[in-house]
Amino acid sequence: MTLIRDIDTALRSLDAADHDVDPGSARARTDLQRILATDPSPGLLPQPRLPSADRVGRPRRTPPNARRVAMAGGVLAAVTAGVVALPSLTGGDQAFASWTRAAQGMTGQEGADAAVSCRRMQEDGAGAEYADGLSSAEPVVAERRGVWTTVVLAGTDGFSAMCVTDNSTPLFSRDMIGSVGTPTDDAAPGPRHLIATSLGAGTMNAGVLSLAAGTAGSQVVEVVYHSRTHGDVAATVSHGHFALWLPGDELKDASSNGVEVAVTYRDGSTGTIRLTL
Amino acid sequence: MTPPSRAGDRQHTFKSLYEAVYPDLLRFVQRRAHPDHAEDVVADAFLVVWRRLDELPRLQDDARAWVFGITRNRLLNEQRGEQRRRALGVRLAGTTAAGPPADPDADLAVSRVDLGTAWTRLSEVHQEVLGLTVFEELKAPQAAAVLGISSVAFRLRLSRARRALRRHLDHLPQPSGTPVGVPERTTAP
Repeated sequence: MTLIRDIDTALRSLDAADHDVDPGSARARTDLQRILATDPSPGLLPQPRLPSADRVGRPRRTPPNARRVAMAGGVLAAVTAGVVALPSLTGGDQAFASWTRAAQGMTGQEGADAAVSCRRMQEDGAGAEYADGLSSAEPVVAERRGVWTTVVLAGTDGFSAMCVTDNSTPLFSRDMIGSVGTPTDDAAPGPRHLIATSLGAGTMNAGVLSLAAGTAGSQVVEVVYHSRTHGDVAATVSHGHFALWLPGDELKDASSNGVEVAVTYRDGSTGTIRLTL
Repeated sequence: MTPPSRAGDRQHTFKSLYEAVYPDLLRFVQRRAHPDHAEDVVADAFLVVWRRLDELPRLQDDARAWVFGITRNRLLNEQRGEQRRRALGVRLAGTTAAGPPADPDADLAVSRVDLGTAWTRLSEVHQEVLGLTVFEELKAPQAAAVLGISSVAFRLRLSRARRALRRHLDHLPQPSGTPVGVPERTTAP
């Protein structure tokens, strides 16, 4: 117990603000509609001063803004644990229209921002019980496919967290799917091998997607999945990890049946590896 | 003219921001302005946010702090005709010596009455940095953004504010029978 903590706790007991505020109250909804009815163009309006709406009763507690739904069927096999999807109620990249077979990289700042977002979304969802692992995990994969970003965070003892996020959805209700956890039997892959830690399919607002991610040996430089629907889908291979995803449910049974990917090694040779969980 | 789809995206973004931040922003204002006007201030602030939505930071915590900063500036700008304030003081709830603590599980090592008295002796600058940390629970980068200062400057200001609050607590008279005192507190030389 520290003095600072005691004083902070005592101060919070003296908070003058209401504990329960309802953003769906009549007053709040009225104000929202009035604001949305104004022209947002700067300079066209006088200094804003909205008329007061009628006072309403004491606010009531409201459910969180974003619905939090476990992935349908749990078909995405995660490392050892939680899979979470955060469906957006509005907007989004419908039917994965912007998705690309080859990923693009991100700038350092974009990758850092995406990693922070992934960490926070996981902390607020399925990754809540992995707070320590998430706080110390570092981004090892950061890629972009259209408006979608994919981030893999990796930590000690094989801990990893993955987020596939539709960045066209609103900031405070991002549509995200991912996995988080620590493998029960952590082992490093051989230099020419892959170990899958996330493999399967799940549902988001935009539709069903399949993904594969895991650790890659030091000699692995390229991983490609031959999709029946989309052709060759290239993974991002970075910092001893790989990650790819594609629209559709092609990998829905891959966790148990396995799936083959083509691998290119540092010496230019190629091979095929069967991923399973 | 804004294409319909883009206008729709803008509305979706604003609605999600509004619904997510509204409770925190109303509380932010209730602590710093007259409670009767809090909802009006929030509505005004969100109108500014609506017009400046293109500047919305990409990260949630930064976006929340950005909205707080806009609201703070509007509150400060309302001081026209008076001496311009450079900080917003933070109001605490009323305290009574016999009143039970709001959180019975909290291990309060300081008297709420003493703390309330010491708080009123703080400058608005110090109340503001402590308020952002304790009530809004902002981390230094976000709190600094609200105030328009660097994180380093914020941490320094916060450290001074904590010291000032302890100093005021140390110099309060301690009436007999009142449960005051902080076990770990040492007397300043």
